[in-house]
Amino acid sequence: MERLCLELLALSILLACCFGASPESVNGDLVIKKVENTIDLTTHLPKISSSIILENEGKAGVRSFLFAVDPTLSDTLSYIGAVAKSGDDDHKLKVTAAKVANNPKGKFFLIDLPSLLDQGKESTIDVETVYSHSLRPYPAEITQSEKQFVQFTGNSHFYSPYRIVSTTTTVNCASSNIESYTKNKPISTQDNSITYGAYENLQPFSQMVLPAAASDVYYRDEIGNISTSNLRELDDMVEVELRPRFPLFGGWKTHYTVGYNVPSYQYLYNSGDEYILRMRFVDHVYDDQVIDHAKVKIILPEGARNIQFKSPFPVQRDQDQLHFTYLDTIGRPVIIASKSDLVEQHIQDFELRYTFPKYMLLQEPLLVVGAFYLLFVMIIIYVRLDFSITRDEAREARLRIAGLVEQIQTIHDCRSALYQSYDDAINKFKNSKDATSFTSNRKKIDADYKQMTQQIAGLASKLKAENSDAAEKVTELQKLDAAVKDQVTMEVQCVERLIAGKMKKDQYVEMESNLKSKKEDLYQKMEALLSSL
Amino acid sequence: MTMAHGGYKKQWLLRMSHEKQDTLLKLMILTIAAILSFSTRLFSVLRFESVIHEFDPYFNYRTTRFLTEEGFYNFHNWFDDRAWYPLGRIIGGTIYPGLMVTSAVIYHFMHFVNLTIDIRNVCVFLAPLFSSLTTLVTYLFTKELMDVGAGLVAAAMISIVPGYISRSVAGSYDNEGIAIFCMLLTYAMWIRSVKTGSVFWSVICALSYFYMVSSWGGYVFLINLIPLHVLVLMLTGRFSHRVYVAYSTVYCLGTILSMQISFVGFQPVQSSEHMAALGVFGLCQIHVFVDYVRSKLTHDQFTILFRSLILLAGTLGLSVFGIATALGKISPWTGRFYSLLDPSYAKNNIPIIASVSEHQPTTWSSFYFDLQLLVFLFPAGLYFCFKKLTDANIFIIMYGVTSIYFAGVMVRLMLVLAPVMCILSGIAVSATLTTFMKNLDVSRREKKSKRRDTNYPIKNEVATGVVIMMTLFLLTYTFHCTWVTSEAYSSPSIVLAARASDGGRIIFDDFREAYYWLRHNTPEDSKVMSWWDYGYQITAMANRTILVDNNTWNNTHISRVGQAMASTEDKAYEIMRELDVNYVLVIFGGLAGYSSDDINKFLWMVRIGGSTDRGQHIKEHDYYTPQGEFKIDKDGSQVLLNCLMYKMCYYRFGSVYTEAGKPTGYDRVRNTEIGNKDFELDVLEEAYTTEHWLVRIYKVKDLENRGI
Amino acid sequence: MKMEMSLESMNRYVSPINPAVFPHLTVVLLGIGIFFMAWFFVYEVTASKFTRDLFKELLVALVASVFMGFGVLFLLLWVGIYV
Repeated sequence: MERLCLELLALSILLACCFGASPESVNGDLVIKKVENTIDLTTHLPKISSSIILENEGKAGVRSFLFAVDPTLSDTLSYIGAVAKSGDDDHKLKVTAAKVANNPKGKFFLIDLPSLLDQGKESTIDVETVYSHSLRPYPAEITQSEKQFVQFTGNSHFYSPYRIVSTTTTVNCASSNIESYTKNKPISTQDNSITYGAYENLQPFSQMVLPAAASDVYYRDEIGNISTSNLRELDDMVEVELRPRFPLFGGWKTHYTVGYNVPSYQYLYNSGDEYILRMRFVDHVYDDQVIDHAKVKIILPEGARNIQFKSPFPVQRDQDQLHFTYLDTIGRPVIIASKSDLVEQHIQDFELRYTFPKYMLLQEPLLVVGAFYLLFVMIIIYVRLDFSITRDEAREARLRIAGLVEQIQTIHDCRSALYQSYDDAINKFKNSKDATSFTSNRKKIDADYKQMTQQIAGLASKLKAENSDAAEKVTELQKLDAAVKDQVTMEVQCVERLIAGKMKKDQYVEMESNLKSKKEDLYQKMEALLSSL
Repeated sequence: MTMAHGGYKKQWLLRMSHEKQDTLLKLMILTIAAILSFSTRLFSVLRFESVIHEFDPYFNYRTTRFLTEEGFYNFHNWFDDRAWYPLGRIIGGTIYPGLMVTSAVIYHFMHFVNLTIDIRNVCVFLAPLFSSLTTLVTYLFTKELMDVGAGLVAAAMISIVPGYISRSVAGSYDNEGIAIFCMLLTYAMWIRSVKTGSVFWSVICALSYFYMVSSWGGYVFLINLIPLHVLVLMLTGRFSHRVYVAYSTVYCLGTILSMQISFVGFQPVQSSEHMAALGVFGLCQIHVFVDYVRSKLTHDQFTILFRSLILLAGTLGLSVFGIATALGKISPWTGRFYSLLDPSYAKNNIPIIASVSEHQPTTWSSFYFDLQLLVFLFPAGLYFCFKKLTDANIFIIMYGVTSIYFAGVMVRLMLVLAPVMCILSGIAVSATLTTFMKNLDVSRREKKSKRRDTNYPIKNEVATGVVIMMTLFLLTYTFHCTWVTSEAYSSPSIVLAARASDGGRIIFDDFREAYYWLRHNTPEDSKVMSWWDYGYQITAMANRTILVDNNTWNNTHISRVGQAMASTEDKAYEIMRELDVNYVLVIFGGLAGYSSDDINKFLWMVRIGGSTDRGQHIKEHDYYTPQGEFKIDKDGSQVLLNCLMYKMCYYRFGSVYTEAGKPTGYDRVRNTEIGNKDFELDVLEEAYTTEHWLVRIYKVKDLENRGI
Repeated sequence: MKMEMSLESMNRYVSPINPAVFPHLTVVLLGIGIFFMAWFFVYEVTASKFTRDLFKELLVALVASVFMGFGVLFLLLWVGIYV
């Protein structure tokens, strides 16, 4: 069994060698004609910009070239980017980490050229690299009265696997107060910059990253957002440039919080009500990180049960807690695990199992719905409360009348909708000539109509007891309505005669338009009457 | 027609009764106005972040945090040793706690229902929230005064008036933010109680007055305005039992309640600012008594009695007032109050009051800037009020006239003027539109009768013109308000933004950079000396002890700091040793071009420093050139070029290039090359200078070892 | 003992509603909710005790609260308060 494992391991290493990272070979035909290095030490993040003129002395076209980072600095490299200069246009180039055959020291990057570089052609590429923590406070601790010096160690030549014809290196410092510097001749100094070179004909040789889906990144402290930060979204990761509010010199300290959201589908697995969360215990903050103490708190949704925590290495489990936040009732379970002294090798996944019934998802919206409903019911109750000691008879009567009038209006609206139904039925009859269905239709409408008219009459009699003026108007309305009904009846008769062939077509048309205009007239009168009620 | 051929749904909307449409419109307008007033104040949050602004809000924020963490009793008894070293400050007894208590109540309520919102966010959004409420209260108030239409217009206007927004944007966490709400609520309740004469509304009025007293010192305006209203009602013969019941209840209850605030204490019965209210209260009793007696006596008897009574009461009152003043029972008028009555008083007598920019007299341009259209509508509104004079209208007239006077005296009081401007303008707009809208309707419907209307020939055209013009005015008002809010009043001032030459935005976050440095890289108990403007920010953000802060109650202490800043290094060192100073912080804008820095404030330091006995030797004219100019270049006075403030600001500046084509040490604010370039500091050492040199912090050196 | 499911037999968790539609859902639901709420309030304010219909009130209130409730929930999710 053990043997098998070993074999498998060997096999996988082999596979990795074959497919994982095929080492790049150095193309000896490429020559760097001229390189201008600018080492910018004005901030605590040293920035080296190299302007490289490449020439292809070979026969075959070249698509890419290797860029090497000096071994003294390669561990602190935090950013690399390359652009091709053609005229005024900058063309961003693809940079990928690469392995080089024979494993020379330093880090290597394969930079794709903007176009195929043919024999004898030249190309100008600007490569920018940023290093963090490569400035060493020197001495490491000072009192505030002393001036803080920093030490930077770099290469005054250009570290590259290709042959270099000419190199110039300029170092820009933050102040003109340069304590000491390496004197590789030829050399010249001016104010706060030192220029090395040019050296002729040299032989070859040489940030926080978040997951790609991270969103809503924040970087803040007790007194607000830290505005000096920058966020760069790349295809496969999100890079956050974390600059503290103030540069950290020897013995100085600061304190901040970084946070971000990631979508759950990358880390959460489920099957029915069973869930597993698989995530890194600690994430990659920077290379060669050392974490003195890490505390991981996992807040699960409300209602999660049967929680099991499985860690890749022994950790200290604290007492579980409950967390209350938006729309919580019973609290969300919190799992707390902590561990001291973590290094890069501790970037491993933990697993957290729990069960969470699906219907619990509805709990929160229903809570809000309930709250709203409660509010509305309270309002309904409130409007029904009456604290007045005396009864205002006049007001009551007015309200009663208004209520009755409103009811009449509503019913009348329905009734006028029935007129429309009559029209529809007549039209349908004209087309289909189906007398039986027409009759049944009409009867149905008639019944509705009768009922409504009776209702109105009932309400009108009630209204009469309160206010004779309004009641008179309603009586008037009823009269008008009866007139409309008469018109409708006549229309029905006409159409029946038309269908039966007892009436000429043109005669009917004339009759119909006549009736229609009368109806319109009546409608308008009713409308006016209603609005005056 | 519609009835027969339109759908049922359409009918329902059209047929919605007049009353329903009315309610729906009212609800909609008020809701939209409330939402608008909240959201228009969020510019700074969207542009920067949810952060507390300016200076005073930082103190309020700090105390609120203390209140939520420690509870009310600890807050009430809080002795703050971080401020006014070595004196300290009894916070509980020297602040108006209304603001903090309001935030804490909201915070605790939110947490009770598990809405875990941060206290900072509660503080940031409190002022916009209360502005929304102010909008609603303005509607209520104006409705009481005039009618619903005027109320709606006034509500819409106050929701975006810059004069009020200037003090209530998100993050501007200050007393005024809630005080305007309380003030208008009190007024609305007062008008309602005057109109109804009901004890219930008077009690509500007294309670809202109590809330007002608990939240802002400006309540003094209120307790003088209400008596003034009563007095005017008496003089105009409108005094009634309703007014009597309302005022007696409000005064008695309000005074007792206001004395519960420990900062106010016994002032309502002792200080002269409150005496008017007491006097009017007495007058009310006499008036009612006289009315009663008059109803029982004949005319002649009454005249004799009345005269002798007046004489007696007058002498008695005057002598009591005189004795009380002589015994010190009635406190003398405070400086701020004098400067209200006489604008030049403060400038001549109290430099610390005059030095604050918000205590300066208001310029005409700032009236227009803050109120725009309202300035012109205000008189029209007054006219409409006079046209239909009622008890309530008299109040708004009094309010308008007094507040326009006070706003003219002090920029800060623009805040009190803004609501009444909105209300009166609302009345004006509503009255105008009501008049002309009617004409519009008439002319459209009765086309035939138009010819007969010879005495008003082009009625419809005039009406249309007026309505269009009013709409245009209101539109420009809206655009102006939004523009002012966005450009002038939405900067947090703690974070500065500038436009770079390439169009991008540069953020100057130097203040927080420096405060955060202090917080983490100085000993916990260090004392920081700075000019008083930055006191609150330092205690809140750096959590360090400071000598003086924005609560300028102790003139001599501030003067001492001013003396240190204005003296030479060795003189200053003595003062700094005396005050146990460890760090000194100055604001310097010469590199970044930030104009409100300490050099520009320096003359005030000199004036305030020289205003006390111990600073007699500091004379303002020593800091001027012989020609009487304040210059920092070679021609500047030697006293200035060698004082501590100058040295701290320009240390190492002489070797820095700031602008292309200019020599080193070129000050970009004063636009000159500095006069004293190459010097070293003897008693101070530079501890920290921020990225853009906005804040420079120096450490005070220890005494030198003996024998050297 | 209960058999534990292995991770391999599980699927990646997909939230029941795609987060991309939160804004649309919020707008639609809140729009309907506000309409019904306005209806409810206008009804409450204008109806007198002779015209009030308890059933209608409760029904409108229920519809309004359901839409408002879900609308508010999606609003919270949209702005990043993951409830």
